[in-house]
Amino acid sequence: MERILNAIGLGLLALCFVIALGRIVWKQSERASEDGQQIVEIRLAHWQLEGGIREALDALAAEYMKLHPHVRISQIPIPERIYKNWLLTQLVGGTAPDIIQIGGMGVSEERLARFFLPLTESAQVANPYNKGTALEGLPLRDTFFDGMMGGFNSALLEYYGIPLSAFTLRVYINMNLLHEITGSDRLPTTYREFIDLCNQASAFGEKTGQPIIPIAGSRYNSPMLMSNLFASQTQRLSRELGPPGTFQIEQVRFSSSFVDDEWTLDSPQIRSGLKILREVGQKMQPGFMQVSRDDASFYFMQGKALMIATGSWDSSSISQQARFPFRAFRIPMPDQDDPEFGKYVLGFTSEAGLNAGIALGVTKASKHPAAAIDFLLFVSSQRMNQKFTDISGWIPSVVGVSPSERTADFMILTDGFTSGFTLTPPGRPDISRVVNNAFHRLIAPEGSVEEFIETIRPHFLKAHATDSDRNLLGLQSALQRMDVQMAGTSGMVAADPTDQAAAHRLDMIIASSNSQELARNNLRFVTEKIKRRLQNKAD
Amino acid sequence: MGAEVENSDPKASLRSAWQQATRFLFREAHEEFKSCPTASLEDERLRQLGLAVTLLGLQPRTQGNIQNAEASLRRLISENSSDSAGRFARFYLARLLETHAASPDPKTARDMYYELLLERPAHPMLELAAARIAYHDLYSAGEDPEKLSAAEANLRPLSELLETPAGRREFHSAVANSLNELNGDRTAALEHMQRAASIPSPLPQIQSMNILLVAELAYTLGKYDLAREYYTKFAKEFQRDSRNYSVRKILETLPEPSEHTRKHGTDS
Repeated sequence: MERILNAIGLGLLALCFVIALGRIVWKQSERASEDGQQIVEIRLAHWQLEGGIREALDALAAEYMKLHPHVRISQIPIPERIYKNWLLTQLVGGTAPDIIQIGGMGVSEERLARFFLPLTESAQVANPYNKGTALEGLPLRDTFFDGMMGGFNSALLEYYGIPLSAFTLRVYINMNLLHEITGSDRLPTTYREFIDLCNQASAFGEKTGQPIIPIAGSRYNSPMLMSNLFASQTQRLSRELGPPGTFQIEQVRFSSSFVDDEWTLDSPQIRSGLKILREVGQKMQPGFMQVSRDDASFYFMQGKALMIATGSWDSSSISQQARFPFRAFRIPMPDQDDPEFGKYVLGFTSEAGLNAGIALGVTKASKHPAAAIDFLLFVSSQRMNQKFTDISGWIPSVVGVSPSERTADFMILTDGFTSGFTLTPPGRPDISRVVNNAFHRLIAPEGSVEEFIETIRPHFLKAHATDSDRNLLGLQSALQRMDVQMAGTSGMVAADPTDQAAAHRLDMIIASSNSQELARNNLRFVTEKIKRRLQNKAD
Repeated sequence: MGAEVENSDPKASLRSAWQQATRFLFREAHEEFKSCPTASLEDERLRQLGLAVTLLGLQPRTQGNIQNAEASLRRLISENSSDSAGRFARFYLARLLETHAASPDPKTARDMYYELLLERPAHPMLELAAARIAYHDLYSAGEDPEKLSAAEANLRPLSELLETPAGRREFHSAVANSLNELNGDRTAALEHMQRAASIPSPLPQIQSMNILLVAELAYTLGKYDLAREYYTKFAKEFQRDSRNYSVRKILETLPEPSEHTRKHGTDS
């Protein structure tokens, strides 16, 4: 018996060997096209697993391969949760694909410089695939609505990516449910109408015995809606804080204005912002901050929730999976006539500063960098970006590309004021932790604005100090790195004074370094002030 | 990774090593500087400078590397303090004392920057020394209006030593922004920022800030015609800026242009 089993095992092993050998031989034979030309294989890795994107990229690849029969393009879609680790392994191991989606997700400046090719030269010349269109002859960078800033690295001062799309935040709404609840297809345009609609949805659910969640919430989706609504209440305040030139509160001003008592946790604008959070939080299902993105999407796609706030990136998945028509609308702000929340508001916030996304970079490990760059030029031509937009339903990145019908609700809206600030601004992890840890005291039915404020008050100033300290170290280290970069560029100019590109780059680094130096001095000054204030409190 | 350019041409080798440094590849740059051939004393000194400066970027940062960089820079300066490598070495030694040393010495760094400026280096990077002095002096004065005004007055003569557009732009921008952040004299801040904004920055986000700051300072000082000029310039040149709509709304509320502006275009 044992002998038979061994023979079966050996047989299976031999079969696997033969199959593997066959595949290798088959792959080798594929490496030459019909005309005998060597086959060029280009692999493209990305994390956009949303519905429609792989299909769109496949369609563009098919078009390219029709034009270049000796090239094979294949996609490697990698789930977002493992992308960073996967990418690092590939880059360090020297096995990285030719084209990789960059922009966060483990692609630091050092890795960009070490493992990716700068695309600055390509950005400065015309895209040959735009021949015959209105973009013919324009430098590549000028063919993107954002001047290709979505692919520009502001530390390395070079273009490293070619962007395919752009993203906006919207509230999605189930149109069948909306019609059933209100008898109309009218979308809410103000915060008050939005809340009224939530109330109508709840009442409708009670009446029919089929509860409806007005807004599907999760720890992923809810902050998108809530931070915008909170910021509506600090919109005027942001404009009033600080010296001239301040339109929006950035990290340093956020802390300096707080330590200077220009705003406090008891400021009416802050209390009003918290009140709006409490109100909108109660329109989501209980325990929403423990719920994942997928669960919230299910509530919406199964028709259990009327609305969900998310980015335009989810539109293709939702349109593929939802069995109902949906629309999307701008996050509704209180209008200035709103009796409760209107007085601190300026109006809708502008999306004018958004840059294009899904930037694709070419790795230094690529065996065919010229072909990889050529493919990126092809996909970013006006005609192909139109095709990408039509299939994916995503926002175009190229000038003159028409949005598809389902993209219309997501297009970038440039008319609008600058945003207010939130209590959890980016780059302030300790402050965010203090606020988020107490969040349930604000949202829970038995919680309140007062309880929330009193919970965070003892820790808030100290968190400003630790965050500022950390940011100061980060800024210091960025400046140290920039010093050597500046010496390098200056050395290039000295070695070849006719190198205009290096001279321009030096000018950019000088401007950037000086701006960072201002930020450092400012942050150091504010950090010391916060520490003095903490010391005074302790005394 | 190694060199992107394999070249026995000394100039090209030096250039290749410097290029690695511009891309944050400091270890590669340092290794290339070690093996760079040089054909002249000038190139050899620049190679030594490259070796010293790239030590400041090597990871992990060690006390030994910083000390070695300092020793190399001091040696270069002692050999010749006024050739190209000597002046760069002085700038970087000041920078090392200001930013890289474990125990920073900003006062000595400030003095070294000042000595360098007195020689009118006429190089955009070396002229950043003026901006560094401005930060040192103004932030040392803090939010005391009298000390700030005195510091600003002391800084004014530095602009006479600056010969490159970038040097002047960054110096005036440093003074204007520091005064603004520290709630200093707005008239002086406006004057400096107007001078900075008259030399376009290669970085659009900085140029937009400079133009907007002129507009906003002019607005707060009641110079509405000047404010209109710069708000209009901003609205026209930075249409993809999230502040564009707000600026257009401000323009709608500004008082009508004066007779002078109608005739001459500005009240400044």
